[in-house]
Amino acid sequence: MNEDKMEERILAYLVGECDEEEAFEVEKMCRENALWQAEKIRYGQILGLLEESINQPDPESLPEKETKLTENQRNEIKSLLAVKSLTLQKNEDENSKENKNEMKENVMTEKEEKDEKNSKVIYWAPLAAAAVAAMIAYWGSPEKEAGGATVASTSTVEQKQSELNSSHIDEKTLSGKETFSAETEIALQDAIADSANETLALRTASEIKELEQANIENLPSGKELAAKITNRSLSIDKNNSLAQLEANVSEDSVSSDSSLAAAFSLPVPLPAPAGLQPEAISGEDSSKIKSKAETNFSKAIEKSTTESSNRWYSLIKGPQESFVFNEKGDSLGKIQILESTPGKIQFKRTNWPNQNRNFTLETGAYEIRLSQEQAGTLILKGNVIRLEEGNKYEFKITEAWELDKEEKRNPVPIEDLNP
Amino acid sequence: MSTEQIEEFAKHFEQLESPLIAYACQILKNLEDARDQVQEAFKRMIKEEQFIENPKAWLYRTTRNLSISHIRKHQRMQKEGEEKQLDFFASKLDSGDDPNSPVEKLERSEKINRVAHFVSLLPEDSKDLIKMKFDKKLSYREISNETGLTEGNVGYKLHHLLQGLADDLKAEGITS
Repeated sequence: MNEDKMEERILAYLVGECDEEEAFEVEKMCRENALWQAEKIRYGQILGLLEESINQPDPESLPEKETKLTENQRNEIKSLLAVKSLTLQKNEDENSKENKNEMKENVMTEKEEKDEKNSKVIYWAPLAAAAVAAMIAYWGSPEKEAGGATVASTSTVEQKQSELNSSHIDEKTLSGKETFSAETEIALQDAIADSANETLALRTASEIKELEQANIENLPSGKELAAKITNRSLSIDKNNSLAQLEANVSEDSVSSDSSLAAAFSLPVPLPAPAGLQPEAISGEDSSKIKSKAETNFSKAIEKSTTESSNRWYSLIKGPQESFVFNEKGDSLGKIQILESTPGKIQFKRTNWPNQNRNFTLETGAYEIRLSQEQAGTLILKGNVIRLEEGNKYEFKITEAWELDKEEKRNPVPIEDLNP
Repeated sequence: MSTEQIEEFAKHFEQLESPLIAYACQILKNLEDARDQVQEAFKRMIKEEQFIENPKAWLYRTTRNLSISHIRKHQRMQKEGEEKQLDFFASKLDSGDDPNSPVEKLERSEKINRVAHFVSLLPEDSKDLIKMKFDKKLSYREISNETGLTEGNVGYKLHHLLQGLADDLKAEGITS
């Protein structure tokens, strides 16, 4: 039974508005229930007070104007209220300041925590990155599983290499974004190397033997290799340097992608210029190939040198630009090469930038610069003698240099200038 | 008094200024004194640091206490002579629950004043209901016949009037 219903029944009982049965019930409830009893007493008191107040003469009804505070009393309350409002406002401001300070402190604390977290991130990021890199290196390619993990074939090795290379790319990309520190990169590299070693370690001895066997089978025979080297030597571009030649030869030797070393991401040391792996080829073939390759290599070097000499000779014969300089390095204007013999050049001056100066070159040391788009720039130093015939000069070469792209002088033997 | 209660102060002031003065005047029998006590009650409300849960009850209680205190201070007890008043203070020390004791009589008198004040503030139809029931001693049926309300409606209205009075008196500490 709810409280309202209880009060209603008690009130009805108290004011004599219920029948005998209901009165008996309420009395019973009041005897048995303390709450009913308390409510009965309370309402009994109120009804008594109410009856008495009714019996009393009505309080004097005051006019509405009288039941108001005076203007002074109102003003006093208003001013007090204003003071209270100001005080509260001040307190609230102070509280808000304190709160702000607390917030600042909290922010500082949070910042410190954040810094701490960052330091933790700095600590953990490389490890996490290394772990990811290791996972990429090992599980990165779904094709690996598709191809069968236990089948040791060339394609698997290639696949493995591409995986490892891709992990290198990832590493570069990450470091390029400057997301990770140097320590991270080191950790990445370590992880990749570890991963590769781990991958290798997981291979069985039989798998490695199969790989090696496959490498040997894929190697060209001695004849094929000799033919390749010969062809390569012949097909070398005239402009190729010795270094390029070496690079091509070595590239050729490893281009089969069948080397076991290719499975590693670590740089594979370049083989000797001969481009042969002695342990891979044995016996008679090996010595033949070696001697033939050496011969071809010498020929190639010789040819390359000859081509270089011819280059300088052709440059001296027909330069696109030719200038004469005094010993101080002042340009004395353009010249025209009239004739060239080994160690000597005949030329004449074609223009003169300063007409006020003597047009005739005095006997002495000079430099001549010859340049051609394809051949480059050649600097010749020597002595100039004026010939009796017209305005011709004879230039006897004493030194020569090639001017490289960085404007540095590289000595060139005088003999190389001859045809 | 909190900022929220200061904002509500104007509302309470407007609603209770006149009733409180009338109530205080009923106790003090002096309009000017009544105004002073009500003003003091409002001032104390502003100064109050503790949260006031029931401002209306708080104001009535404070006004009553201030009024009684004022009477004591000026030795002008309502319906009591100076001697009786002295007897009151003397008997307060050793008074029990004797309803005939001056203290009990005074308290009873103040309670009656408070109820009378409550009734005086009721709307006329509610006042009529109270009078018919507690002055004329009419039954619900008779009131129903007088007012045209159903018996149930008469009972419902009276119940809610008395419930409001009981809540006010309880909040002001007049009844338990």
